[in-house]
Amino acid sequence: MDFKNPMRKFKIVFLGEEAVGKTSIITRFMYDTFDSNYQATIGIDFLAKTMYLDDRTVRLQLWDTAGQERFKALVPAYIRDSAIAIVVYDITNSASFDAVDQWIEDVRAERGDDVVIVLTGNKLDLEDRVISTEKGESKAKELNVIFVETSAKSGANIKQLFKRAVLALPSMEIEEEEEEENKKEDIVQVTPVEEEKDQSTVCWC
Amino acid sequence: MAAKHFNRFKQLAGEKLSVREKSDRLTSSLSEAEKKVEEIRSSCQSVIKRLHACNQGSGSTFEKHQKKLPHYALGVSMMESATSMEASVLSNILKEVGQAQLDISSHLTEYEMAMENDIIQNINSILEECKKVDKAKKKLSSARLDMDGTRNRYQSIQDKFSPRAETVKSELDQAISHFEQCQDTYATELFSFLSKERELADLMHKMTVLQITHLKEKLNVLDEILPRLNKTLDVSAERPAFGFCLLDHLKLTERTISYVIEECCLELRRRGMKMEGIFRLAASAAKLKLLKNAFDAASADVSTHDPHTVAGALKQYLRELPDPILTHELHADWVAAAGVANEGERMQQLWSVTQNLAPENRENLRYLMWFLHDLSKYHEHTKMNVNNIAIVIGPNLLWSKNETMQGLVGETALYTRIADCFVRHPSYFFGDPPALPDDLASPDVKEEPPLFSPTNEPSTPVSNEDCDFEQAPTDPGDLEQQDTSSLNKPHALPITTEERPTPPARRNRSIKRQQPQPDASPIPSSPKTPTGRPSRPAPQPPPSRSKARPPPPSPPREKSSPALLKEKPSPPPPFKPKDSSVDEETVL
Repeated sequence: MDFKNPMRKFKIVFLGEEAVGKTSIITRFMYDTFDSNYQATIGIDFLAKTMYLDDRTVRLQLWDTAGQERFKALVPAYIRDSAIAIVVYDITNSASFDAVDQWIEDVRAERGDDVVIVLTGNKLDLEDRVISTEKGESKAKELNVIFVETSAKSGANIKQLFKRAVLALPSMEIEEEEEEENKKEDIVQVTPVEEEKDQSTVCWC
Repeated sequence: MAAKHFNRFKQLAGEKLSVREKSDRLTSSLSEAEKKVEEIRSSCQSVIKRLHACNQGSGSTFEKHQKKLPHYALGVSMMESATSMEASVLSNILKEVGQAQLDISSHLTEYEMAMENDIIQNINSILEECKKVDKAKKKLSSARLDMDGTRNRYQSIQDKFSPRAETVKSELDQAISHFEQCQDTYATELFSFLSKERELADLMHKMTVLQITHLKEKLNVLDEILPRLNKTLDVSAERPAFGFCLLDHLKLTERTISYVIEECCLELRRRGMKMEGIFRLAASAAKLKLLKNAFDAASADVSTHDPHTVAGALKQYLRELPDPILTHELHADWVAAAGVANEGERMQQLWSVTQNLAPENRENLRYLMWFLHDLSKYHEHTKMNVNNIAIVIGPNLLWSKNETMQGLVGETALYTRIADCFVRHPSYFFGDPPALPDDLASPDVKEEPPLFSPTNEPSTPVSNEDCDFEQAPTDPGDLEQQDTSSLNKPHALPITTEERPTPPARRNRSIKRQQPQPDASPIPSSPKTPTGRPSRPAPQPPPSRSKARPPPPSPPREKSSPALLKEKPSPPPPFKPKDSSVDEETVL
């Protein structure tokens, strides 16, 4: 890895009720495996992965949370500096879908519109679906977020999930243009407007 | 003759002079008294006006007076509401408070009537005295007019020796003496009234005493009912269960096991033992709230709720206890004990901390842990093995007082480990399982073969050990185990390592002390032995038990745990797997 040419880093947080598959999505994305053990997550985990997208690469920090209630109080602190929030529900569990509003509300309360939110219906491989794709889509539309349905078990749509999230980052297009100039600086321009002024930059390290 | 006239004139002039002087002198000394009288009179009048306004009631008789008081009306409506509703805490309290309001109103009546009779009337009589002064003053001024008129008449007579003059002279003398008499009377009345000044002051004093007595009476009424109110409230079981101190709850409900814990555990034993993801899957927030409120209203019927909701309510109950069931007080001890690397020693230290819990907490913990232990045997149905159960329950058993993200994230692994030990070996910590109702008395699971499959089981100690990053390399077992779990793994370390405040230091210390006992790690089969359990002869329970006893010796244990040295009720029994827990180990 070329450490002299640092890539842009983004923090991605995973939210959602327990046992919807947050850890499984991450495991599939990271190692392209599926662990059929039914293993709850302790506290908060984080992993990093470099993602190669066409002509550029980004470094993703994946933060996995325990869906347990006790940790809900921590969510604000946890999403504070995140660029992407992936809110996961289980398409076979309507309670997990009902909780989506609250999760997204929590993210919006903390980050406003400075965050890409992806609503993810997981467990596509299961047959006893209770939340239809239309229902998920309309919820995503209503909340103005990206919508994807995935299966961590089969791997369906997992890469697309991350790709869509990263491509939706507001600074991505601008970065393409300025990449050459800023190549050696490990900085990220936050908004296009502030882009012109050099001092209004934020360090992501 | 001329001389006689002159003398007479001189005499008259002298007389006239003397009367004038005398009257003037009197007038000047009286005018001061008059001024004072006016002051007293005006203060009497203003006080009496305001005093009347102070009284809330009025009426000739006690009853009439009382009925006009607002407190009386309040008391009556409270009593009416109390009698019109079903007997409950509220109706009892309303009765008590209503009666108190009536008592207060009767005391108030007494007070106001005393004010009326003893103070206001007396002030009025003082004002009456004032009228006497006025009367005397009137008399005096008319006598003065009389006197002055007669004198003028006398002075207008030229011939002072005429018979007419003699007559007028005698009239004048009479008028003068009458005037002087009136003047004396007036002075007497004035001074008599001035003596009332003291009386008025005394009345003000008396009024203060009356007020004090009255307020004390009112206070007595309230003081008297307060203990009864407290008692009524205390005795009442109609108290919120959630967020309510465990000890108080047990005392008030005369239970040994918390209402919520018992109800939820029993119901889950009936319907939840085979639910996949029980205690892990989130319940619907609305249904959870409904069940919680039903518990608080002491009218929960758990059998109508989804088992996930029941499990969620149980977790929420534990989480909302003002003091966690493992108690803030022992927080540091728990964390220290859970951080011990050597399993045998860790178990013993946890055992010691358990002994320091209040008996009530221990009893509820015993109930809960035996339930979870039994639940773990169904893991093929629930997918919830001991470790999973520990992960979801642990953070609800203990938390630190000033919770921070770092603290919670860092210590969660330890809470999970404590829960893991409890759920895995309830008999070691708490003795026999609690008695269950007949329909649940002998769960068939006990006869079932041990259910811990090798795939599930190893992950348990591993994920515990993972969190103890620093120690991992020191224990060969750990390294071998790390491949089993996916995410709760060393890559999780960066966060926890940096941010965990004290526990690592503590743990490191104890680890170091334990290092010199590698001999404790038994059995050549250690690759399969779960990590961090060197002292434990896991795989072959019955024969190795005897071996197990020597390895966890007491001296190092005592050294490594200063917290426990202070208060150790009795040495913890050496940890050795038995009963059903033995079965689990055998599967390893």
